[in-house]
Amino acid sequence: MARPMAADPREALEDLVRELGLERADAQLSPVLDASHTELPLPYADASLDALVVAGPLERAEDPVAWARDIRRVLRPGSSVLAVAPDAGRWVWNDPLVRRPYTRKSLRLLFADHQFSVRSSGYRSLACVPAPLRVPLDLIPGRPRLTWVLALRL
Amino acid sequence: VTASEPRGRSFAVWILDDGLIMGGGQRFALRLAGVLGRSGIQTRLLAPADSALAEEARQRGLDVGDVRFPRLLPPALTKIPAALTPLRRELSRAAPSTVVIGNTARCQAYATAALLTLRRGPVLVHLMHEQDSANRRTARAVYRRFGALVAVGENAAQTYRERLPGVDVATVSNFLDMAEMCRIEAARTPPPNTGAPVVGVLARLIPEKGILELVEELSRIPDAWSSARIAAPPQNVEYTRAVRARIAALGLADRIHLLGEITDLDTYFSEVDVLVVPSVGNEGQPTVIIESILYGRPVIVRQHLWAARFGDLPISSYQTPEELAHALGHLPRVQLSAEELELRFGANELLDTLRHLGSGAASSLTVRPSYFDWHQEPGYYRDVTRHFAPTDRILDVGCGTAWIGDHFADYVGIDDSSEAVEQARARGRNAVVHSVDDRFPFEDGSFDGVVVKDLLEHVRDPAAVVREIRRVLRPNGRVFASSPDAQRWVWDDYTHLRPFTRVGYRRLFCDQRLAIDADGYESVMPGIGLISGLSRRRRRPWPLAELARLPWVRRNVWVLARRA
Repeated sequence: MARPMAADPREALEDLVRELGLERADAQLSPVLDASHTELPLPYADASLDALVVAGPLERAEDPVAWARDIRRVLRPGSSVLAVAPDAGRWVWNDPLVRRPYTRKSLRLLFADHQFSVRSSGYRSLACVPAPLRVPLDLIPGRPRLTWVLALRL
Repeated sequence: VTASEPRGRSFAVWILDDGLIMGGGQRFALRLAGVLGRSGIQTRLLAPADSALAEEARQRGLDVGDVRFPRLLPPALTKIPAALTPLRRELSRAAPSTVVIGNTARCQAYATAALLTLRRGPVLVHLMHEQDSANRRTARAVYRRFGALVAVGENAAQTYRERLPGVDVATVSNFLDMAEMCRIEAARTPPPNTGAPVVGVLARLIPEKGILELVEELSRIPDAWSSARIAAPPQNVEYTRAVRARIAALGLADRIHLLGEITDLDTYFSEVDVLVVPSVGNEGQPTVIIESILYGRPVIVRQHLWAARFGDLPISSYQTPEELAHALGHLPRVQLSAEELELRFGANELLDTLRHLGSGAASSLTVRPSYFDWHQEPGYYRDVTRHFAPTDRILDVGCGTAWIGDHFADYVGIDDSSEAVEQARARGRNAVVHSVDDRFPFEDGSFDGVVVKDLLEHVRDPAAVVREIRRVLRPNGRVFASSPDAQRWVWDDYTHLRPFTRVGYRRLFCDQRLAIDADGYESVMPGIGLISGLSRRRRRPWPLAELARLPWVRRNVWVLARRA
């Protein structure tokens, strides 16, 4: 019997955005890029965005540092970025397009080392369970979960 | 402090002392505090409030803070956290340009522990009055990583330089306050000068001061001296008893006088012709040397206390009783004024050093370690260097700060980070900037050994790098390589491109026609570098090394391969 083992990462991401209070009714959404977008530079002008969600490209990127630099380029000073990537574990390699997973430490460092101020970071389990049960699962490495970081562009 | 200086940058000096004894180091601290106070520099002393030192400091009107430094040994271990918290709180209030002087080894350990957890702390200076700490591994591990080293006396500085290669050690002379120097000069009296000289000794009765040895030496040359006046408080009861017994056994009780503690130096020096400093232990630069010269009495020191800067002063040295007899028979009659001595033994040298450390020039000492600092020589460096002979020509690929270069005469390192290469060159190591993605700038077969440590996980095409390594190796030349095992922690570093496994690592080298001599796992668990640094062999201690067989222990894979 087919049973979903993990929630749709998109739902987990939407939950996370809501919990962090990043939703804004007046948000003017720029064209959303497909998660398989791995080309740099990003198709936005310098310092043109007020906020950015990056979910998908970091684990497929050949050079994460180039991504951090380009994300900084397109953001206005003082604006924020929410970056999400799969946490290191065997399950990551089930996706043939993934080049590298992260941990909370490396994702924090990636932004902290490139003139961002990291505001908060954490793990988010992809287990298909109600929220109160999910919270302890967030803390266990090895099972499918995302790592995320909320950083301010300096 | 002038009004124009911004508050945060004002220079201040704090002195930490455990106040266990009232020795030369403690009197040095009090003199220093006095000089600083008169120069208008804010000064604080942090010491146990009930110690003799704190009492003396309060009488002199110094700002004294009550901090305790319990022993670092088992019965007192439980008191350490309770002592550390108030110290940390005190230090967190210090401005970043404040210089905190650890005046004893124990205080230095406490200050290091307290400052390591502060994000922005003052500058820590380890002030060394002796050389004992140079022989303690734990102390050396601290000095190598944290704080600036200032040694009192040239021979102390030399010892630390020898034991801590690559660490800057500043030298300062012991000093006397100018007012004190003038007072002593005014109290100067002509020597008794009645036939054979009267020998004076000013010390404490502890084995390091070498008084027992001096008694033996004097007994061998009975004609070279008339009497000896040993002014030394009996700090060590057993040693005092031994000295007394030896004097009685040699029948010298009427010639060698044990005076105990004396307070009136003027009278004491008026009754002796020469001061002998017979210390056998490690000692920096005893203050009595300066005092004696000011009183117009020449000084004879045991050979190891001699320093080049004593050159033209009335100070001589001896090793054997015969040399001591010769020195006693040829006492120089040089009288130096306080002004002349001020140039040699004034406080200015010390103040300049402290000011320099407190200013931006030394800020690099206090910032948190950069990426390259973490790749300094690990405590288990012999696990890497043992695979090669010291005379081998070695290439270090991805050398970082090139610490391996300290172990080989003929060494070259390459790294694509110009910052790392700059740091390596500043330490006098041979490194060049070169990216491993390009052909190595060396001829075929030009190296006896290649080290490629923690590099292959960072490169896009590891096989191409190994191919280049094979090219520059001479036939039968060896390569040592290590990289992270396929474990979770690999991904804590966003510059890592891939991990390896033992099988994969062997294949990587086999495929490029290198013969595998040995391979395995090596532990890189946190703290193992520090622990290995305490070992005599400078290798990972075997129980910890064996733990690397367990897949959940943080480990590297390594391989030792030979060009067939």
